[in-house]
Amino acid sequence: MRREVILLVWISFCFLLLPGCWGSMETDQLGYVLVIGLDKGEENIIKVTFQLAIPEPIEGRQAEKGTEVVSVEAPSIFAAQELIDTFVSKRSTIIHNKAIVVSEDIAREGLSKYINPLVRSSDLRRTNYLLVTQGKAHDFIQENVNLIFERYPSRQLDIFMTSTYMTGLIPNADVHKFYEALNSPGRQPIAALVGVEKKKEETQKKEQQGEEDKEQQGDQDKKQQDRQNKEQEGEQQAQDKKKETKSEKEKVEEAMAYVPGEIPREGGNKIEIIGTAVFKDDRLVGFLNGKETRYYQMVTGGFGRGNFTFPDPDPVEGGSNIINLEIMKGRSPEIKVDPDQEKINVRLFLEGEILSIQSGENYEQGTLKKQLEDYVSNHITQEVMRLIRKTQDEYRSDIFGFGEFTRIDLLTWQDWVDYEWLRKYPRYEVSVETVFKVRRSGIMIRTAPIHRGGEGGVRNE
Amino acid sequence: MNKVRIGYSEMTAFIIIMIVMKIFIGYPRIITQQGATAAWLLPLFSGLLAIGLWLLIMRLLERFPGESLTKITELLLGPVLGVAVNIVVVTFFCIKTALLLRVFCEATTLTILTETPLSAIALLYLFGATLTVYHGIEAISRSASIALPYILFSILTVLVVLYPYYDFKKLLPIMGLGGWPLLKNSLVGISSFGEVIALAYLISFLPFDKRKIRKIGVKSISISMFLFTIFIAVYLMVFVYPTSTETFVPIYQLTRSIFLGHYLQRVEAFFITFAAFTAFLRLAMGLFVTLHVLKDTLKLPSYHPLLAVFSLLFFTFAFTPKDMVQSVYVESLLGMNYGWIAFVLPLLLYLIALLRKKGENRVK
Repeated sequence: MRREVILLVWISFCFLLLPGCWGSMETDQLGYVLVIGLDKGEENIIKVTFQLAIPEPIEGRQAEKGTEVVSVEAPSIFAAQELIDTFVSKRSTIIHNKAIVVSEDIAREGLSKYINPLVRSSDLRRTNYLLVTQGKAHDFIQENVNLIFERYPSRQLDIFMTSTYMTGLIPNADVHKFYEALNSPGRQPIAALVGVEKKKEETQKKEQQGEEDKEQQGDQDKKQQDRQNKEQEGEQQAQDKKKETKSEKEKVEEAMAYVPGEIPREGGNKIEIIGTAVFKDDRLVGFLNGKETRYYQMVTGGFGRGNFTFPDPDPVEGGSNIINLEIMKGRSPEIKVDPDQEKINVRLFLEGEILSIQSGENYEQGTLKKQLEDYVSNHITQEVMRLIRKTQDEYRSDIFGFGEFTRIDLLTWQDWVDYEWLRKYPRYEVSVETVFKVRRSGIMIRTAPIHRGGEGGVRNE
Repeated sequence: MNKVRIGYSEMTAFIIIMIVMKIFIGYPRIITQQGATAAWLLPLFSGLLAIGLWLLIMRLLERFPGESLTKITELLLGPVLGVAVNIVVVTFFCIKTALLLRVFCEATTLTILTETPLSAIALLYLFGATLTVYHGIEAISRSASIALPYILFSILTVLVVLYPYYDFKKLLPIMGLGGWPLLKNSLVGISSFGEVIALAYLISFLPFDKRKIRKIGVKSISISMFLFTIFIAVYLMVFVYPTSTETFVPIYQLTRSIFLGHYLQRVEAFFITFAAFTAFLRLAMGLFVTLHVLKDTLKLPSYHPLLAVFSLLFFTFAFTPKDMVQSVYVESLLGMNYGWIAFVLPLLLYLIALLRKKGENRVK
């Protein structure tokens, strides 16, 4: 009997403790913030924009009603969070936040003071994506509301960010990686670059405005110019022909070389996520476009796969025909950094699948295959070299983390700090080698010749 | 001799949990502070040294078969000094466990029960620990034996699913803060394995020969050493030095870093269950060892009348530090910086036994 009484007392005590969740809140009391945006404030230090989920069933409703965007100016992110509770009838929480969007202005000023509260907070995870927008963070979030292909706002950014591995056009950038790079003597941080679609009408309007201005000024000189033009007509025609050929090749080579807002497109989501924001210490110093971001990821080992377009390796066909390849990471890159000779040696290992050969040449096998592999290898080598030099000369920032490879050459942490890698990086000599192998050729193993009946010839044999 | 008997695997689990529990609080942070990029080597060196010291301590225990360290202290130092030293040991265990209680409470407040008063969390932990200790060492060691595979599984799972962060370069430069700090901190680092001494105080519960007792110690230290080494290595790869020195509860930060796609993230709640259970067990073990040593010192028939008093004492000691930072500092000072003292007392006793040639006849 005594045991039962004791047990009963213990259990009663347990029941007293069980409702002890002093901080308990019902789910419908909470306002789940999905994205936080940081802009420079006008009336206070920063303008913080929150994209809040409306916790109601989305099924059968318009997707854009799934979230609400609110902005408030405050001295800090947490002060802003408190303030929104004064006009949003939910207790806002950032425990489910997905991404931090920072405006270019703030990023150029220095991000460390904004990163500090983010890494200290027990609510916010360091796995939050870190995005930099060339315009205002508020504008980006405002446009992020318009979900077209995704019903669930929280999934939209997750799916966008899988492009890191599927196309390589954006880097895998989160608060954790940024903070780690910020504290490392061997690398510099990056963030993903995002923006809003520039409307075609706006662009056209600007172009028209420019043309009108030109016309007004140009009327007086028109006759004189016409005369000069006629004189140079023959010369120009020849030059134009060359230009057309070159520009087409350039177009092919510059495919994917876009930053947000530049993609020539119609339809789709209003936001664009392409490119990389480059930091030196905690300050934004420049951008990499989509194409450069792919090469950046090849060097860091983050590249998974992506479709690449090259001019045909044949000097004759190269002007008008292209080759499409899906390039995949073969294995992790080999990077050797020699602090004695101040040399960086990069070896990339890539594999590819042929997606299209417009010229119909049989690049799938034999010497032509070797020719294609060498051509692609050289092309990638040159592009990677150009990118590394850009980070050395223009940005003076080791975003690749080459400095991490010098750890092995030094015995102690202090030796490594004293080596001052980040100061020395720009003067290092770089060599790149790409080992590219065509592993598959789609579901065809050769291209049969096309018979051009009218001209009586077989084109490609 | 006690009537209660503990099996080999139960006692091994008991000691392993006592040692390994540090992973769930600040141990990885402290070690990376001491060793920087070479921190993963520290548990390895310290562990090997601790095994050596344990084997020496076993020589002392072998000279007094079946006697606990409490009794041996009295036999070697005399009734007055012996009791005094044992009281110091009780105080050490008591303060250390009380500080652990505070650190567990702070960790719980910071991670899951952010709005719950610290005292309520402390009561919850103490309630579980007191209840377990009330049922005796059998309950504790069997719980430990059942829980250990799950605890180990949870720790190893955390380490494995963090594989996207693996980058072995982060474990370099190999000498960390330098040769001397590495050596010094390896020596001081034996504190991490100091809990193995509890085995010497609980020897009266072990119904088997000295070889098995020795094996329990070696096995416990070896498994803990292996776990510490891989845990620190992974921690350093995820939170690169010096950011690794910032985190209050490293394992919590590690579990929050798990991101294996949209559907496999935010999994820390799962692992917190294991951490909380380990905390309950560790507190119960600390409370039991404290009471058992006191019972042996004062030659009491049972420790049960002291249970409520000591629970209150633990609660009081736990709330002596003014704030979180002070409690973490004092706990790490006692546990990590001066925890090696746990090895010093039995080694001094062994020296005295050798000099006074005590216990030789018993061996013969």
